Amino acid sequence: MQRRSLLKVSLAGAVALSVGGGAGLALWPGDTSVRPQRPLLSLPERAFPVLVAVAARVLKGTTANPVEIAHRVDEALRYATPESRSDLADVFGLLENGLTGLMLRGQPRPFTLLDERAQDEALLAWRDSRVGLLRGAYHALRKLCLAAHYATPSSWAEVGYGGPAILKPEPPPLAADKPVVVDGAARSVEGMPG
Amino acid sequence: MTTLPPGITEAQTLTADVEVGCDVAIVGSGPGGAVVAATLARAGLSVVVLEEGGAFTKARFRGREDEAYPLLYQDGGQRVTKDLGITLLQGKAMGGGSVVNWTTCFRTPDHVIDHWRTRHAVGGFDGAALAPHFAAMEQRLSIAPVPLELLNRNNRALYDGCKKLGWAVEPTQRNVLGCAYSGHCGHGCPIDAKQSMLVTLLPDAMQAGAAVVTRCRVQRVVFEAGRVTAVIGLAIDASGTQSTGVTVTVKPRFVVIAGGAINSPALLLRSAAPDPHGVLGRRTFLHPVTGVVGVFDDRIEGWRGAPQSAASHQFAQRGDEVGFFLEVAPIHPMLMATAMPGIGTTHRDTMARVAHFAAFLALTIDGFHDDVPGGRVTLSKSGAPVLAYPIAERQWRAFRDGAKALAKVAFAAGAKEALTGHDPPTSMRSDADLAAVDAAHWEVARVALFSAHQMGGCGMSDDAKSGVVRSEDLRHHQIDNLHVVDGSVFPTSLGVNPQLSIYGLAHLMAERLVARWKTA
Repeated sequence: MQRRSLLKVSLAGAVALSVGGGAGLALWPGDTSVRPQRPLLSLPERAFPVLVAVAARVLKGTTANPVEIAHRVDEALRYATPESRSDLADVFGLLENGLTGLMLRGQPRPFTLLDERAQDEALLAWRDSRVGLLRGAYHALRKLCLAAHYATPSSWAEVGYGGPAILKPEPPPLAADKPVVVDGAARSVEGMPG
Repeated sequence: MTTLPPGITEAQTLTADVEVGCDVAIVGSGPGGAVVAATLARAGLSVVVLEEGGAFTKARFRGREDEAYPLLYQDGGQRVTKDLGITLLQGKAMGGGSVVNWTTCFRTPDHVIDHWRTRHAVGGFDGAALAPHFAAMEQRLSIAPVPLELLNRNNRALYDGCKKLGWAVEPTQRNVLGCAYSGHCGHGCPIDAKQSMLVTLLPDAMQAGAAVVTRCRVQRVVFEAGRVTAVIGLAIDASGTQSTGVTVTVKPRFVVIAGGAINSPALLLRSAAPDPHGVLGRRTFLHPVTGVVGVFDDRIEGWRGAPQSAASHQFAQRGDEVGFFLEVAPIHPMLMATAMPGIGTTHRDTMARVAHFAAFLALTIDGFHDDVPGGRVTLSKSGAPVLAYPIAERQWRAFRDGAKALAKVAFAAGAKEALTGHDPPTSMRSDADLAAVDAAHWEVARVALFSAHQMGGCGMSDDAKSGVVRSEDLRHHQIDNLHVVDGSVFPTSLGVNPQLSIYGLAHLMAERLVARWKTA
């Protein structure tokens, strides 16, 4: 429900390392060349290239397009609590932060500048971390990307799923729904629009 | 002050603040709120139901995971415990969890009600008092056992596996009428066969004059001199994500909170409700679930058929150890993809076999041991609920034992491989490999855990020091005209899927409330 404590983990790590003289590493610029293709609804722009890079690793070998997955994750996060959204933005910062990389895997380069093998190792380092919240963050990132792909028809052929049992026309967009008016004497909501 | 017309008002269409007077305001339209609304409205009381979710019909229930989870689940399906350890599947819509549950119906076991009486001072009713109310709801919702021959292959594997092992197992009862076995219960029933509150008790209530306001998020209830004087709601846009800025204020004589576990205690916390003994939000229970996937040579295709239609209570009562019961989960691509471990080609190759998977669940029964007190709901800065749920060592043992039982079932049913929910996975080829379950790391976020059953947080007890509401009529101990009628009042988990327990209890309590309020 919220990932607030992750912020504390990241701050604690940053403070520990800056005391040791490594503060400049946090400013190592990552690869910001991957830009959103439409306005973001939940995440800050700086998180987007990191999310795209994560999506590319999580969904490697599938038909998923990482940029499209990143947009779907951003859209799905509209439904999360404000604290979850903010904490997740912190997670992307933490993953990209050279200090974290140095602390967790002896590698100060930002996630977006790692080669594919090193990116996988970085994610698996979180999976196997002794810090429960890093393991939780690994699963949060993984699940968001997986859900964005496997919830949609583009994945169905890959897994042998035939799709819904009962086909229906696409409903109108939610915002276009007309007010529902139900006669109080009606026995059921059968026939309600929308 | 105005009155609302009977039927549905979608708050996203309101263009100005409204103030509404009525006899009873009900917060939440799920199994608790809908049953109370129908009973009170039929008795002639004016009823306004406030619901945060949207009013949808089967036209929007298309069996699509990408549409169903954002529309019909709390936090768009992303609700999770504070330490990210347990995924919480909880409904949010007109009709509440009944719109998305998997239709499994059990009466509250008598031994659970007895435990409440002896350990939690629940003296307001007993099993005999509830029985006619269960019967009434079973009749209204067409609750009946699934014929054995209609179990899908996933459920049949659980049934056959348990039978081979000599374990208790039965087809479940379901609240369906004209079910087409599409497998889409969790996405909103595409043909209105599921007898959810959306197509039963809410229409009953509206026919009797009740008003239902959807897309209305109740922010707080207002207390003055020991009574609730107003309920303040915020209109939400059609997508369910943003406030429209319009306020809905209801000024009722009585208030029933029925937002479900997690949300009901959160509303009372936001409202700074009296809580002199610090019990509000505590003892929140989840039936935390661990799963085992059985891999079969044949295609199982667990996405079709009744998602849950068999259950085993062989291990429900284990004395000093935490009990668990066995059921299965529907297998749809997104739900399985997020449950299966790994990333990249490892995960992709797992998903390529998903048609051959049977998904078995062990649901652990929390709240019956002193060191298993459940979780605690508090509030985030924005006022959203946060559930901290520490898992006791005794529960980890139950997960291990549950996973071993599930692996045995899988192999007895003919599986060639069994996988625990660990990341990286623990794979077994036969009963000889069961020790691998003990060797696995049973720790938060190393193994997939989830909950589809949220209970407690506003527990009932006749001892005001240990309960939020009294059991006789579920009235708040400190607030005269405030009642809580939903799954949050259970003082423990149930050991069975909760919906029928909520229907039966709400039906009993609503009759008692009518008797009092008609003369008040």
